[in-house]
Amino acid sequence: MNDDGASLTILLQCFFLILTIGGLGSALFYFIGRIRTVPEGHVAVIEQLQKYKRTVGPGLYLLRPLEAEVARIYVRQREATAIVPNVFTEGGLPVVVNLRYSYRLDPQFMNRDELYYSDGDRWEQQRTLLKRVFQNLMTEMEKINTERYKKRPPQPAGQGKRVDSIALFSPFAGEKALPLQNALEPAVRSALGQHGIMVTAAPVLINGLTLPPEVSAAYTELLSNDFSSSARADFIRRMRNASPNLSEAAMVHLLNIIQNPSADVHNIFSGGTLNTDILLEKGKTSSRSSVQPSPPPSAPSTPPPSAPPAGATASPAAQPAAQPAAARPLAPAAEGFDPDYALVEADNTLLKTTRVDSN
Amino acid sequence: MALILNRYTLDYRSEVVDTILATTQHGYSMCLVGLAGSGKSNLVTFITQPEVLARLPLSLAQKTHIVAVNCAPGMQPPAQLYRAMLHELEPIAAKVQYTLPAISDETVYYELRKTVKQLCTSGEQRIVFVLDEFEQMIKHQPLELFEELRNVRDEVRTTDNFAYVAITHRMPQCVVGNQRFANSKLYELLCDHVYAFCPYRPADAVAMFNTLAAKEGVTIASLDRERILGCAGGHSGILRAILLALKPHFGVTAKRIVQLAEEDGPVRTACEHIWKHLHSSERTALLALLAGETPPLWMCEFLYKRGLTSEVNAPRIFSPVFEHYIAGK
Repeated sequence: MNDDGASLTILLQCFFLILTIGGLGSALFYFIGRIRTVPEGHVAVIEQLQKYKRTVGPGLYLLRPLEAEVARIYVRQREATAIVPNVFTEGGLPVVVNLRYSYRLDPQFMNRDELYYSDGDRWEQQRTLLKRVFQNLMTEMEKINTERYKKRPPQPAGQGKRVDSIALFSPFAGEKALPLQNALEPAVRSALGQHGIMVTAAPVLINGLTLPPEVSAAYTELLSNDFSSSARADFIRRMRNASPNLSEAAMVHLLNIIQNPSADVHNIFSGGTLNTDILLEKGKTSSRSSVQPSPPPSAPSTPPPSAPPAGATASPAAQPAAQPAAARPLAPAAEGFDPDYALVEADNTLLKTTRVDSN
Repeated sequence: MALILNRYTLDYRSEVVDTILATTQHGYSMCLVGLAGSGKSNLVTFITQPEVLARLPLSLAQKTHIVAVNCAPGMQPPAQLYRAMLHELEPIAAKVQYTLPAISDETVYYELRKTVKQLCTSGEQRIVFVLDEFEQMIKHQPLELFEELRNVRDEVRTTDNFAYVAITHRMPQCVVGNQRFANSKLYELLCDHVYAFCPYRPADAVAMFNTLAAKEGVTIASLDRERILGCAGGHSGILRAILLALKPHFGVTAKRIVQLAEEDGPVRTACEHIWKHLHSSERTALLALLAGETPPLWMCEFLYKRGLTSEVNAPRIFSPVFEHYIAGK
């Protein structure tokens, strides 16, 4: 009996020992099983009972009871080339801004929803934030009156109205490019930083501007049709479709520029890209074009008619109507009077009189 | 004598009115180029009166409609112009029982085209749009607007039932605007029919002077009237200004009338108005003329056609008052 009792006790002790060891083993296995690692450059998002609990950084970590890792965020520094669409220059031209910067993500500054963003969502978020940055910057830049604008030299008489083609791309080009560049970096850093997108110390660069493909295509067609009036009308229609917000004045300015293109302007509109070199140039001469009267559609090389010598007879055989659009100079401007193109002999032939005492 | 609107004789400006009717009846558009203050607005008022159409054969008169739209200030949105044009078409639409649709700024241009097409083709009506102060449009509007105006006409070009009469101070192709008007399709319509709009013929000048005197409640002796008319050179603005400046004592010498051009007052203002709206080449030529130089023959012809000088070969400025004003420059 005593032996039986002792055996039972030992059996029970063994059972509890095994149970304890088993429990401890299971606990150990469970513990080991809850150990997780986060690779370098990532942050893990942890939920408990499907509710956000915390984030953990790279290295070992232990999932607490009922916790689960639901997402990993790649936070390592990376280079970005952001495409910010539909930014309107001071000239009213819609452009796509190509922006280069480097950033890393910091989940501490993200709100809860932003932690769950996919790469696509985060990319879209950056585009939206950058769009807003540019909207604010454009407003600020409009207020800047640079010395060049204050002290613009008077235009020499008879040389046509000078139009600065770079001004169409201001403030991305010309004298406002530098202030824009200086203001851009802190603005981008602040706007993105509030959402955990930490822009690094590397500079934020405008890598170039791209014109909407519709604009380039319309320009190419206008060029191939020798700027004929119907091609111009078509160009205007297409521009209106491509950029409904383009003001009337900006449209006129744009037409003035592209009808008198410099090599740069031609490259920009035909290639659809304004490169960094031009962006950094401060109102360079080659980017300015003198807007003379537009070339006639049919005879672009027709020389301007010259005034006839005194006493010359007005020739009834002249054909003014055939070349009305021939380039002719502006008449010398007089203060207080509207400018006009110089009268030429052809105008006399063109004009009929209603005088009854005609002699 | 029967007067239209109590001021215009039936043959008022007949040389211009006949030209307009003859040109537009063939579906040709035209441009009238007139000195500032030479009575262009009076002409617009007159020509839109139904009595004027009595000069046409009855069959044409019944279907012809001359309507005017003021293009000033020229900077308004195109939709505003189209709306004004459409508004002028309302009575014609009512005549052919065509109901104008409700319009918005987005659709007004298309409705204008549609209405013109309907009236000129199905309705067989003949429409002449007088575009007063058209120079303002050239100065401020892009070519697109002129292309659109051209398209309105092109829609019905085969019917000869639609024409424009644009009114400007200067030759339209010389006006500096946002873009060269000479490159527009509308200019192609106008350039073969550019007519100078001269000061009044003597008969019109007398009639208008009498109307002005009656309006001012003054009676002017025949000799005084002849003197004033001679000094004004038939220019409506100068004529009115002299009347206002002399009122109520008109028995002054011609020298005194001419001197009004150098004194502050309506006469000087009228002269300044003309001077300001001349072409710069015309100003130069007139100054040269007064300095004893002879401008090129073509310029002499041009000045004569414009009504700025009285002759081609021995040009003299049309009005002694205006001549005195220029001499003071």
